[in-house]
Amino acid sequence: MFLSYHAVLVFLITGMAMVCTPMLLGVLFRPRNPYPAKTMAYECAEDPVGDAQIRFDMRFYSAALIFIIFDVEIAFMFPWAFVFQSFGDRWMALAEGVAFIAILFLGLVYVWVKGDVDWVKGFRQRRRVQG
Amino acid sequence: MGILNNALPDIGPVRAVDAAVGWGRASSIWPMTFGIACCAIEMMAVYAATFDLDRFGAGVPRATPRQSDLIIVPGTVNAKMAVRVRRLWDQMAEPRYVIAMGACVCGGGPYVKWGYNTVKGVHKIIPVDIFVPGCPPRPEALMDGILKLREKVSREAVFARRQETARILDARGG
Repeated sequence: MFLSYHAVLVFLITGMAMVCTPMLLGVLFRPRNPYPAKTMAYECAEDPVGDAQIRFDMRFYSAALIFIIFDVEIAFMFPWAFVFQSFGDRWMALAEGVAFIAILFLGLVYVWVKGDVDWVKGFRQRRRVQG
Repeated sequence: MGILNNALPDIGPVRAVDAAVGWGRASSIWPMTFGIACCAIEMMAVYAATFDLDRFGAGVPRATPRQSDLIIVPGTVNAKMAVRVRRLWDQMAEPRYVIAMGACVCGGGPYVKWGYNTVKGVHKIIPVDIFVPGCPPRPEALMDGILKLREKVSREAVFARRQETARILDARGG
């Protein structure tokens, strides 16, 4: 009965061999010459500051995402302001600009309510649950 | 170095393998993205469409020394930069090759007499394979340097322990 599983055994051995053989060949063939100056972290040949494998605060990620709101806003405001004089109906152009800012401001309100602009995240929600 | 590198006898089959490996290495020399001064402008022209260094497999500048085989030193190396050049060369993986591009890098150039801060030739810091003179060299001159380097790389003994290689290896103790 167990004999019917021999294919799995062959599969396992072949799989392991296909991983181990190239690694062994690499050890045989590749030049290997590590020394401190070579294994040092690469920072454009400057003296590296700290280790390359650091833990990066996830809160910077949400801060960068929120920054995009203002970044895109300003990027579109400049051409709008530049051609503003040439519009026939300036009130219409102003209204469209305000509408655009309002939509992006809605995004800011959303992240504000979600608590993503707080540096100590979740603090407000926790307090609300306790109180 | 690796177990088999320069360890096999210098016989026909090993030489054939060496030739194949040398052909592969010479056909895919990846230079490092590195420019110092005005020679770098000529180097960029060589990478770009008109001169098209990619014809020789050397047109893929890598953004890190870990992936690159060749460092072209294009431009005046001053004392402050010399430390960095040495470290960049240190951080490249073997086999690594160096092309000294321009008069300053080959031996000081216009700064050879009064340049208090110029390193008089990059060969004082790192071992140079090919010298390309000129101030700055024409793109054709750099391409000629690349072709010379290709010849050198393709002739290299990788696995065979040749007479001249054995002498060098014995001199530095293995």
